Amino acid sequence: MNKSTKKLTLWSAAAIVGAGQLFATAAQASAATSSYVTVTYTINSIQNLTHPGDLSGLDILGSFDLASLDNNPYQLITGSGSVTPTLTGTGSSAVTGSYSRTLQLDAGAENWSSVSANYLAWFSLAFNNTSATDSYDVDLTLSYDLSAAASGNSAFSDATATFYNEDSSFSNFADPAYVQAAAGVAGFGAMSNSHGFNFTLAAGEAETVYVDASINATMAPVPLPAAAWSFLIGALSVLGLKRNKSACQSV
Amino acid sequence: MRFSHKLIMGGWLLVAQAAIAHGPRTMPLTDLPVPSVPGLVDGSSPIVVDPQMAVALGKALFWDMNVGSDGQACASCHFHAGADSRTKNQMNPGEKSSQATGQTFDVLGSGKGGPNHTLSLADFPLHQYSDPFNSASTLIRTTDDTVASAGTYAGNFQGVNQFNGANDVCDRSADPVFHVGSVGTRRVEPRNTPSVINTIFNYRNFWDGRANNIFNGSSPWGDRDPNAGVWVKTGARTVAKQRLHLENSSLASLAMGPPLNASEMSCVGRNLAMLGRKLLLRAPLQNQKVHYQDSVFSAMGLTNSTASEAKAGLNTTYKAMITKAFNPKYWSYTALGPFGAPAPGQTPYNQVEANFSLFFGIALQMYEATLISDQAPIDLTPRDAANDPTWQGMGKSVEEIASLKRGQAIFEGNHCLICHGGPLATTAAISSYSTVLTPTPGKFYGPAHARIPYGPDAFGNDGQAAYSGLTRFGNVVDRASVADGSYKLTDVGFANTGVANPLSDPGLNANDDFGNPFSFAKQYVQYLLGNNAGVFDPGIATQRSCDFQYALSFDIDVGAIFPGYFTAFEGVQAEGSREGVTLQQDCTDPSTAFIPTVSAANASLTANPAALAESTQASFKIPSLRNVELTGPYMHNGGMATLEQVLEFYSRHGNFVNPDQNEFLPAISLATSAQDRTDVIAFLKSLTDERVKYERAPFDHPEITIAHGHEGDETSVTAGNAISPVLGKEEYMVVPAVGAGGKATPIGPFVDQLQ
Repeated sequence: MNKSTKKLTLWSAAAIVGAGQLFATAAQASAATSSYVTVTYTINSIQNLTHPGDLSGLDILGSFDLASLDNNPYQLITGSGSVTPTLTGTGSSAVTGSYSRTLQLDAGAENWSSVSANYLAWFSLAFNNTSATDSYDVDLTLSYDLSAAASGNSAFSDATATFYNEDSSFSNFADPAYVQAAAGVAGFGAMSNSHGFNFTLAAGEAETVYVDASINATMAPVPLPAAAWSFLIGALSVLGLKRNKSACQSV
Repeated sequence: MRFSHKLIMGGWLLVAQAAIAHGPRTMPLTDLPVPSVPGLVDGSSPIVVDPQMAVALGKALFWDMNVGSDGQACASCHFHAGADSRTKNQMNPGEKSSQATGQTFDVLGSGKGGPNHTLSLADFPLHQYSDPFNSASTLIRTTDDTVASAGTYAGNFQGVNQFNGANDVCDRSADPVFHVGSVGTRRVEPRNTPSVINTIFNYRNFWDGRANNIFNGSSPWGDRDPNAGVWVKTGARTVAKQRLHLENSSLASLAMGPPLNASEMSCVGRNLAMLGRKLLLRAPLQNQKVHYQDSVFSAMGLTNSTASEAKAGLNTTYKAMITKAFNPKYWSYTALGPFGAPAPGQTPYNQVEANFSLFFGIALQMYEATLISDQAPIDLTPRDAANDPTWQGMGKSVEEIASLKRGQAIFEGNHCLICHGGPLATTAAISSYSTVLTPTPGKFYGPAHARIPYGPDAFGNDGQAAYSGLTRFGNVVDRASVADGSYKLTDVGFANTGVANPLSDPGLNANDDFGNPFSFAKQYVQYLLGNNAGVFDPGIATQRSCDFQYALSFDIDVGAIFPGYFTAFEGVQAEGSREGVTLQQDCTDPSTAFIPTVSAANASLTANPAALAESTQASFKIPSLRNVELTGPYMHNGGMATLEQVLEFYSRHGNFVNPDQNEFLPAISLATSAQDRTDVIAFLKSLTDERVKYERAPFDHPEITIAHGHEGDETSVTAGNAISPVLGKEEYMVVPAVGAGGKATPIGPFVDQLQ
């Protein structure tokens, strides 16, 4: 028999509540992750270089949603696991001063359950100069916060953000942002940064600043106390089966 | 009219190989340049953006028992001066053999053998004569079994755990070859484990040269593999598989092998993306204690240990280390893209997993590049005006110094330098040697007190390096003389010394997974024949025959075919003329700077078959003699336990006289004087770096637990391994963590482990 299949069946049948719970979390799970990416565009100034004060020719549109791709979002849950994405204010909307959106992913799993999830969201702020005669100068700040947290055991989450403009010409876009959290190893990671941009759009020109951000949550908690992990040279499933039986008997 | 053979030899060959010192001398290794890898850390888009982190990643991967399917790390076989000193369950039946005996185990000198046998002194040498100095004396015993390294239980791979447990989920059963009774034992791989130290200098690696000089990112085969490549983020939302061609990266190529090999580290059917899935979210060295003064990890704040408490693991994950070390274009693609999935219904691979072969190979190469043992006595000794060691001021007695000097002279006088030449004591270090042989004003190598200028005399006055076919141009092909007196095209850095029956292991004379030969000499023959489809590796077309030890062609018409050579009678052309370049400058012998025309080459196959003959059967990469004191057992089959046995082998001119055996074996005169052999061994021991002996930085390392035989012996093994009840219970060797300062007691030679 396929050993991994057998293992998964036992996990979903066991549903050990409370046993082996190492960290108190709101979800009462044996592993939990919580991660987010917040993107904020702040328009510092817009100037009509041709007819000062007339901002009517510049359309500014903010957009935020899950990327429309195959395999997105992706999740694979076995047993008692959950994945909770939070995206508020999805879709497109006109923007004046600033535009901020957050992709958040919370996940949890009980012992013997597993979660594997990947969510990719696309953020953008698009400037379209619809005027036939005027040029506009735009001063923009893009700031972002990434955060990843993982608790319990055998839990991992990371967040990646990549940045670019319409023709990939903005040179300070070179590096992606990345944070990760691995329970029991380094359970929290966060970073914040911001970039300033200044560009001019002639009549009929357009520019968009994009942020693509993905969050991954992977966990497969098991009810072992931390000290026993240093002896895990044997087959995990064999050890787990024995533990399972004795736990049942004690209940 | 035919010229006499002797006249031709005198006119067109190098100085006759008399019993004088000749060949590239054992110069210091200090400052010998590591071969450059264009694009790795330099250029507009380097592959590695944080070299220090890449080295740390490589050290972790090298020592991590989670890499194997059942507890094997690279270091499980490369832990003792970079090699393997284990004695139990180390026998392979000779599986490289083309004969049926390669599948069965023999009884060794102790009266025992096979799986779970504990080696003893009585087992060595594997090929033993009644008089070890005389190969005409009675042969007491021989075997095609090899003394090698125990590896994995293998089995059919099914899955990995991403967080805990060293073992993969595999369908396990008792191996049909490696078992005692019905109890399965760990498989043993077929060739003796060479040391990993100083291997960054080898142009190719593995005993048979199959670890290609070019790294393609996903397999060992370099440019030969049409499917190899790495996934590169090409635009904001695009990713594409691209070819990779990284020069002088044979160690990265090598790393693609053992973690998937079913004798060494892995269940059958695993791939490197799956290994990535297993490792990426884990802490490196998860269950292995790391020394609080580890020379790599402590400096970077990666260890959890303190002076009072040794702890396991690094305080990060493999994925975090990769995102810091490598160019984001190899890992920052945000979608679950076209990378495939392990199996239907399983989570698709992400870019980091899909490129894990790239990260794995390069990190390991960068760590292994730090393992250079250039502080041996031979490197530290003061040198006289002729650049010979004086051994003064090193605490050696007058007798010791005399012995060292005699030993070096005898080593040189017996032609050992022709193969074991230069600072690495092997001609396999083609690229680095060619760099220092290039006249470069202002460039020197060697220790501060004995700087040696780059140029043709870099390995000894009067162009000693050229005797081995080594020049600034870095030929990988040569023409050498073999046992039957004929001259044959060979691969530089490889030799057949007649250690074993040539049928027991073909060595270099084998093919890759695509059916193409490893040998450069064979590819050169195809080039000469005008068959460019038979050339797979770069550089073949620019080989310079004017630097060969023995000439191939000369532009003189002797009026008839001259057997074994090309002459103007059949048709020759200037070297490089096919490509429209000049390759005739700075020749060792300019009168031989010719190759046959394509039609002459093709005609020779029937009319003059000796001309394009090549010699590769049972030819093996020449090992470095650095730290040889510590790296027994010796030879590709591990057939000799002591340096004394090695010198006895050479004294009797080898074990198997065969057509491809190197010409110099019969010329060795070590049999008559025990003092001579003692002196040579003293010289060989001067190649041992104290830091290797005491495992001081960079040779310090984390703790590792290594499988060392099974409970029981070769007649009975206790079943009931935790991995599977049909496998034998393990016995272990624990090698404690060592910090930059090294151990208190030195490691010793292999023979000290034998009863």
